[in-house]
Amino acid sequence: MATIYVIVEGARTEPILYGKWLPILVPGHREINRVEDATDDIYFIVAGHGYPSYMDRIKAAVEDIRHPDNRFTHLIVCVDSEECSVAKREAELEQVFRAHDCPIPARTIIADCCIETWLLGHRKIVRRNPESAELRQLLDLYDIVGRDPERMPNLGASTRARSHLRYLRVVFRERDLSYTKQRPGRPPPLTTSLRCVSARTAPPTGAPTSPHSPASSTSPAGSLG
Amino acid sequence: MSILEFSFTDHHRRWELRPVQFKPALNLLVGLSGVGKTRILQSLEAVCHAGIGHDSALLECQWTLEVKVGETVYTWHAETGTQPAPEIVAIEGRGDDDSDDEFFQVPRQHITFSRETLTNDQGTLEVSRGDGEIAFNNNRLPKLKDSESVLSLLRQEPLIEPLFQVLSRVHKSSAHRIRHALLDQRARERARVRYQKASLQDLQEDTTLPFLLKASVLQDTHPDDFARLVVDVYRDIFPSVTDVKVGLLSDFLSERERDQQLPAYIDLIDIALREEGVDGWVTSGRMSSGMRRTLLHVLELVLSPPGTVLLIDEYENSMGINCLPAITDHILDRAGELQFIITSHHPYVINNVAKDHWMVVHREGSVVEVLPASAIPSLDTRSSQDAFVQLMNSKEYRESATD
Repeated sequence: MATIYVIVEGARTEPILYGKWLPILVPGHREINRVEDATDDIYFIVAGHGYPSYMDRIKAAVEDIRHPDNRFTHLIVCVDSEECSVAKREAELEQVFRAHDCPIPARTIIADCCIETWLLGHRKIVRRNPESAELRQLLDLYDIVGRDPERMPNLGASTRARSHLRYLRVVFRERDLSYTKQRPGRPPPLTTSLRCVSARTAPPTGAPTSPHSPASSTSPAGSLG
Repeated sequence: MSILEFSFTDHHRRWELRPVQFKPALNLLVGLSGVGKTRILQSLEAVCHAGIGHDSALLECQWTLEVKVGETVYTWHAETGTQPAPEIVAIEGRGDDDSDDEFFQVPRQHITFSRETLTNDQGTLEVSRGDGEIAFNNNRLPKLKDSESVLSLLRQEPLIEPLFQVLSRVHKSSAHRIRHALLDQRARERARVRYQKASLQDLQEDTTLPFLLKASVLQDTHPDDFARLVVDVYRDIFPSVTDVKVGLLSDFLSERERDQQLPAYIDLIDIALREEGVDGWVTSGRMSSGMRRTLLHVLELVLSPPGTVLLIDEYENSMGINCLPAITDHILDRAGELQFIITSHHPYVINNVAKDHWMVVHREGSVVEVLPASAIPSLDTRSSQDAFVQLMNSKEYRESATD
């Protein structure tokens, strides 16, 4: 059992996703809305409001954790690497934990490069033989079903993250669904992110090694200890 | 004097505001875009306008307004009827912060009051209207026009007059209050004479003077107050500004501009500023929207008499981080003397206004409810996270609009 303070990257998508995923990742734990209500088996999610705003959230979280009545045992920061590497983002966060002298174990869960990348890891949502020419073109450029979404390069957008977001929207449109960062809707199953992270942390035999693996602290399913 | 409670239903447009209790000093309405914050202000303004006999488009509506005047609490309930499709009788400019030249066709609406009650908590006032008849403290009155509220019709009754005065002090802050306007020279002269030896508060209390004219009279009759409360305050925010002046638009323009833009026979009043390194005066129409909005708030805070209810929508609009802290400070200074009902999304504003003043607007379908921060358990916390983050994190805010 653990008492977990969770900071997530964004204000809309991630609180919904992690709100649904955490009960599966840490069974027996429940969400609380106030730090005062912390017990031995809870998690408390704070929306980070993007980079670099979430750095302020981390600072405030450490202040909460330093409170004499603190019950939290773990701090977990779930963010995007965006345009830098996972290793660089992780080093940056480690530095922040040290600078604020976080008194409990602090862990990072980093999506390479954004949360939409992980949503693209949902194999069943991507049609193999789509009707949309746009999706067929994207699949030709990068087969998101057969390959690791986290390795997908920028496919011609202003940034890699935009490229991943655009790909996801096209995937959704093919199914007459829409995806917006503001109203992400129902979260996909947890296997989506596990596929991405496990591909990064434990590459199958023969698969090319990820430039930022292994990163044990990035595994959401790993031990919290 | 303050608005205590307001509820409103628009049957025509199918929108309902459940009873909302306002605090006497500061009310910061927060909530996601689309939950109805602006509409709350619009409805409140329209109801107060209807109360004092101004045109309003409140067809098939009903409302209850509770207002405290001194120690007396008035409760006014009204229901309005339908009206045939209105005839468009005027085309009027209504520039706002973002658009100087937007024009709207303004239909003249005559609402009809089908049912009304007006009472006070002292038990000394009871007005009722229904079935075409009005009774005032159990006396049936001769037939009166149904396009005017009982409050407006009976405004000279000593029991009703104080409420009428309060409702005439409810203003929605709008940038067009400081746009150039026709100047009535004789009214200006009369006001100058009247307020030459009067106190600043006497001038503030005059709610009949148009906004810019009142600013001009303040400048002319109380130059020290104008310099201290307007020019210096504004220069603190914009150090490059060297002067602020209310005067004839023609005096602010170059000779060439004057010949091109203004007919010689029209006097327009305007407010203008001088800035270091800029030739000539910058008139209100040529100011940046942030500078204009800041100037508007500075003037509103100086010119509004105690008891004014100021409605400010999207408070942070156009104002940068160099203006917001100062104006927020001035608002907090006058809150209590004035009642503020403000909408905002801005982290600075939310972080710098105590949680006690927050009111989270929540909409379910077409029904809007306003929750005070004290009704949201997750906000009652010792957490060091910013107040803004705590608010955004609360379930009540995140789920504040459901269709």
